[in-house]
Amino acid sequence: MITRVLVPMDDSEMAEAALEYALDAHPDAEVTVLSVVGEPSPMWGRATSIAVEDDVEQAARDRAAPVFERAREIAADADREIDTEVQLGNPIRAIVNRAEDFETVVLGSHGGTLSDSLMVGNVAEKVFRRSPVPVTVVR
Amino acid sequence: MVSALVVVGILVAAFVGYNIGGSSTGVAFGPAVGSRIVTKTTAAGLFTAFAFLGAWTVGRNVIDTMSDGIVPAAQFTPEAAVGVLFFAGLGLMLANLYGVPASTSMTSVGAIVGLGLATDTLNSALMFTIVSAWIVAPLLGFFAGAVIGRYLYPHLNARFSFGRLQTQLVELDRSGRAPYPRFNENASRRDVVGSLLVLVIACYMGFSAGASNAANAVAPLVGNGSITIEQGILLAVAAIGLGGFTIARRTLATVGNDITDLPILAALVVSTIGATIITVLSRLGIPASLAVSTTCCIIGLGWGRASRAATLAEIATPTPEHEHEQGPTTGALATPTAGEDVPAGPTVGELASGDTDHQAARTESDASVPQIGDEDPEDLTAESLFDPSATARIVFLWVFTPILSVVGSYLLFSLIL
Repeated sequence: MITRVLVPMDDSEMAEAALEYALDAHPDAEVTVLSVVGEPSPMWGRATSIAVEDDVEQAARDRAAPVFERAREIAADADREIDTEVQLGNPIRAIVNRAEDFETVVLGSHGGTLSDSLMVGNVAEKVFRRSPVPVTVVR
Repeated sequence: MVSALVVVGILVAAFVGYNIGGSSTGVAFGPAVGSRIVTKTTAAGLFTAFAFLGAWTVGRNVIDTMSDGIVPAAQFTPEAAVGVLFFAGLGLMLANLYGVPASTSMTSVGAIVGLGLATDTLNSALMFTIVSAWIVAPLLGFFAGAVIGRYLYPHLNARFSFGRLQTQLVELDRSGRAPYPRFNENASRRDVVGSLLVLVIACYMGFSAGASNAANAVAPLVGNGSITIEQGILLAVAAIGLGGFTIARRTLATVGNDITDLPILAALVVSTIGATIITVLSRLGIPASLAVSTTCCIIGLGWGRASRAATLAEIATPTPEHEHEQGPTTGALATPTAGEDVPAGPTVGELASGDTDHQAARTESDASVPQIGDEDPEDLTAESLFDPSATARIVFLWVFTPILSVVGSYLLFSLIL
């Protein structure tokens, strides 16, 4: 029985589908939604906009708030509660690092634009290859 | 036949200029438009005017280099001119359509280098200087950003605050016979000074963009004598302006324009450094990328600021993280950091969407600056925002398009033309 599930989310519809699937497929598990902010962007504005803040942690939470809000709505529709967690920087590295504390990872097959994937690569594919725990890619 | 090719050349040049206007207006005026200091139309007008100034004065040196320096002007046959411009346009299209970070200047120079290699006329001494500048300028931008981020930024941030304007700062008064601009009467003096600063720096960036970019659109045509250098500048700026008034409306929108993610102060710092680097290089006749230098400065600023939680001695002698947290030497746990009481400045994007309410709530007296080493080393370390592998990736992308342009142009000119 799986009890700890990690669902990395961005603001895409695929990420929402992944959360819905995770809640459905693991009815008794504790689901943690992970949002990675300040990811690399072509002029590095996203990362630096967080780095220059006086309170980096607060800035990171502010950036992640819309994703968590949406995630809580989806969880509420399924009568469930979720935990939330914020990480900074490269999404692939952040997800793979956190994955070891969970039994499985569920994520959407793609989000973002071509320029995003040029900057960090295909997140789902790389997490799938590098994760220490089983990964479900929702498509 | 030849005159038809000249017409094609002028059209391609106009297309290149049009796309330059579309992408550069957003980089230069994104912060000014995002914080509602000017409208998109005013921004396009100012950008065009200052790009013209830059191209007409400093930009001539760059046109000289690219029309008769890297390869002799005689190499720019009408066919070659169209070929070189084609690669510049292709690079720009990639940049504009897909958001690939591609430098127009580096791509254009790449195409000319391909031509020079194919015809064995490349001025390699000059190319060595140019490539050196391409390495030194971004590094300079990075270190300038890093020093400011680490030592100056917190002080600047405590002193300046940038509020959001409810209406445009400069509005057109249409009550008279001819419309003339005047200041919004409701703006406070502090707002006016801050906004003017944002505007002045945007114009400076427009100036530097014009100086370095006009050559990309018209240098080959000036080289083969189809048009004079003055006609070339007018053509380039007209096309750049057209792009500024049309496609830039889209790039000026806050979404997808990276520089508008930054707090206004940070945007001002990086714009000033980026524009200065490019203006100096243009004065020296060296074509270089405004976007690349500015991006390096953004990375430097963030990295320098992120490193502030540790003192230089700690950076030099790394300690395991848990010791670092317990160590009384940093004083971080003993002294509550004053910095956390300071509300964060609004980003340009927030200002534009109007969903922030904490600006201008701060007075100068409650803003104090934490000493370096005093700020809390937190669970979420800002250092992880500056992942070396992602930085390597962006550098690869900067180098990739120009190299593609050298290879493509070499093959085109050695095999076909």
